[in-house]
Amino acid sequence: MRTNLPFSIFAGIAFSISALCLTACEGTTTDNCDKTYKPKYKLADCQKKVGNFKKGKTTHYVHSEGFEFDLKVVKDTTTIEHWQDFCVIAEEEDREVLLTSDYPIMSVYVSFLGGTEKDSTGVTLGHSKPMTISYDGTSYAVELDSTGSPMEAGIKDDIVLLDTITFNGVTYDSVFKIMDYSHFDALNYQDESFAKGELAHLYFSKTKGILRLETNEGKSFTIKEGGDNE
Amino acid sequence: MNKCLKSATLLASALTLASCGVFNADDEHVGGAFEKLVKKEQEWSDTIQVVDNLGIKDSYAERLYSHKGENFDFKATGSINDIFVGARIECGEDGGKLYIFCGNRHSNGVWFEEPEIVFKDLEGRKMTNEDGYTIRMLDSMVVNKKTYKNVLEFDASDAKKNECSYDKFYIAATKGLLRIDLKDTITIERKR
Repeated sequence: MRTNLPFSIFAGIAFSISALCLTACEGTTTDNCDKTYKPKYKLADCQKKVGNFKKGKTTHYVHSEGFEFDLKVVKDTTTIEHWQDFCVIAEEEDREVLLTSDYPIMSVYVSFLGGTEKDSTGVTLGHSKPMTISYDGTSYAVELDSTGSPMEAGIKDDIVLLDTITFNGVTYDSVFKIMDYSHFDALNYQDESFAKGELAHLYFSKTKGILRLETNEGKSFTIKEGGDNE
Repeated sequence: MNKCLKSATLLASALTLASCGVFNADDEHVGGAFEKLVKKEQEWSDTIQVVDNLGIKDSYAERLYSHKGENFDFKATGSINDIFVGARIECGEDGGKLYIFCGNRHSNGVWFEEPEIVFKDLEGRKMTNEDGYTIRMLDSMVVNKKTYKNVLEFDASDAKKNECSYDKFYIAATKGLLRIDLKDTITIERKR
């Protein structure tokens, strides 16, 4: 082991110099830019309204394990995030919604990242409107159109618009059945396996929010209106 | 690069061993009855089934790592319930430290071991820290008609500000999670 020592010292010094260089260079990211671009990414109106995630709103659900519970919107905050990437120094308006149940202790996160950008004359330059709904390691990330409807991402049947669907005796119109992208294997994708329903889905209404959420562990919870709801 | 990594690994291992009593066994130790938690060499993980007094069933993934005289590291996470139970012991000249991690699950599903609740200079069988959290070693505990030995009780019910999502938990030195009490009325117990 003794013969390795000079090499280790050399490697250590080389690593330290590299680290110092990287640290020193970090602060000069935009120094070599002819012009720094400073976009301001805002939330679109649909990102502020879709799902009706108003703070204090409570929705009643029944879990696949048999128990019933309420999910309450306990947090709905909009923040301005600043980030920098080479010649871009951006300001981004983000919205985060948190739904929790008192017991069992469960949390669903909904996030909207600002992606709508306008120039000084008001002309829209970019119009990304993402929405992500996450629960227990399962994540549903979609792009919204200007009305708040989730848009297909180019994968067959990744999003299906259902005219009607009934959950616990109540029929809902215009429900989006959204596939869980986080476990989608694009390389080994086959229509046959998809048809077997191996992937989890989210049933989402623009006005009611989460109607049914499935996890990749085979669990789910489904809206149950008419009881303690709202 | 491999040579460099080997050297670094050897140095880190030597430092770890030296700090946990291998070279100074008389100095480094775990104090009081809490020493029972580090008596057995063990490394395992499993999933246990639990049920609460409302009849709601859940499962907990748990992992335990313990080396005699050195340290104890236990983690358990609920499947349905966003509950994280964590306990770690590090040996020391003054009896070592016991850390409790209540844990929070972030939006990406990853658990963070926070807040960190610390008990220093372990001694005796019951200790209360400056924030009002209490730990106690029980010789045994009966859960669902089965007796478990050497049980660590964590009690946050008298804490100045309870930052955990539960009031109490109980873990056995070699069997893992036994019980969680929360919201005054709910008891989650391990099935047999």
